[in-house]
Amino acid sequence: MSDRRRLHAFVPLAQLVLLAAVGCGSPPQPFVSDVDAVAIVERNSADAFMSLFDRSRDGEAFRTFDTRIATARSRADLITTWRTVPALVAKGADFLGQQVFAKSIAEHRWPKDRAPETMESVFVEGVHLGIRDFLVGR
Amino acid sequence: MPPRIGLVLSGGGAKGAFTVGALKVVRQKLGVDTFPVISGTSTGSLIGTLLAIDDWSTLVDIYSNVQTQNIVNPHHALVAAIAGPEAVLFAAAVLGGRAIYDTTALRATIAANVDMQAVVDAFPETLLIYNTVDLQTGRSTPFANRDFGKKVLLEALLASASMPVLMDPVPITVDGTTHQYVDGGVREFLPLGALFASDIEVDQIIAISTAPLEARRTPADYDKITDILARTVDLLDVEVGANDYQGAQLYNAILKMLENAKAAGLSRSALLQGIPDAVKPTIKDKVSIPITVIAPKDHLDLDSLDFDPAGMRAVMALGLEAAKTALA
Repeated sequence: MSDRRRLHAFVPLAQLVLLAAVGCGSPPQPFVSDVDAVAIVERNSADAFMSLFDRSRDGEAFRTFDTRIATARSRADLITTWRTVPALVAKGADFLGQQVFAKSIAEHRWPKDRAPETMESVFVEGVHLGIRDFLVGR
Repeated sequence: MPPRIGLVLSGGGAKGAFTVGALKVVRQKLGVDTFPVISGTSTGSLIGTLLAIDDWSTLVDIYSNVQTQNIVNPHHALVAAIAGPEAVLFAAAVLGGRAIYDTTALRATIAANVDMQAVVDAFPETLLIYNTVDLQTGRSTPFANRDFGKKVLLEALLASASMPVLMDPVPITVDGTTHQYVDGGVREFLPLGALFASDIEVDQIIAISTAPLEARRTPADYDKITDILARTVDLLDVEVGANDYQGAQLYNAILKMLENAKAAGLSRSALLQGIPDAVKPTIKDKVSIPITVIAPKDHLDLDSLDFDPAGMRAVMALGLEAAKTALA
């Protein structure tokens, strides 16, 4: 077999490879966000703390606050405890109400159909996570 | 009462994470949740969309966790895998095609996360403007939720994000005529013009740019076509964005001078003497509006189509710090 004929024998194979190369590809994968109520409170807590406090200066105050809310059960508990930490209350006695809770409740994905009293634990958990995020700079 | 803030959000693809970081501070420090008008281009249009419908946590989640394959995929995937994106450009040129990347995934990601009816319903509380460029007329073409239904708005959002050559132009039919639309950043990277033209009253404009306001030196050697393209896009973004800002500043300065002259007792006819008739409507009854620009000091170390979660989170942190400084 001449070199030319040997080369021609590869043409269909080359075309097949090219067609496969052009046509192949996995189906597109959309990103699907799954934020829930806890994540919403966590997000707004972390944003508020990162925007209006300084981690190196106020980190200790947040650790103190986090320890003191270990047994908190409601927004009222969180707000009352906030007022016991001087570095935090300096930014406002109703800081959590205005900067975290109100913004969370206003969000599009907030479960507005759930009874408010069933959401109290969500606020507590979300604030805990927000403090953690703030302290690690996330 | 919180100030009425008009938002202007630049393009930049994955660099939009910088904008999201800056918005954290805008929301928290200024106590603002609702913006009377948002003008966005490209990634700024997507960010503006989720802001307008109060879906903040979803917005942060997307710009923290989305990956490139959730946004774009090469039209010729195996060619790209074997020979890199440069080969896709060649394949598209030889075999036909309008872009290197396919945006089916972006469309699916938007569909999975954005309630377009809520976007329509956000007006009149928020006028949301998607800035595009009409490939046929060459004109900057805004699409607003005041004027269009959810189907056209979805296409306009995709068009606003479609960087030409990299992503397919999007056909949109308006009044029976179909044109192809692409990323508004081709003509206006920092879309201040649409906000000024909107007639929505605001106390202040905050413009967030993912590009610095002047070109910065980079240490890299550019020996790959894709790197050269990325650097060129970066430089164009800087140039177009800086011109957009300077144009707005000049416009504001003229309005301020007119306000000062009026306060000093000059009559309206004296104020407008010598000004061409064609220009008069653009300044009639307008007032100057303070503009605060939040922009990175240097080029962000992230390619526009490199939706890498770690990189985006780093850029988001830069945006937060830049906004803290700008709004101090």
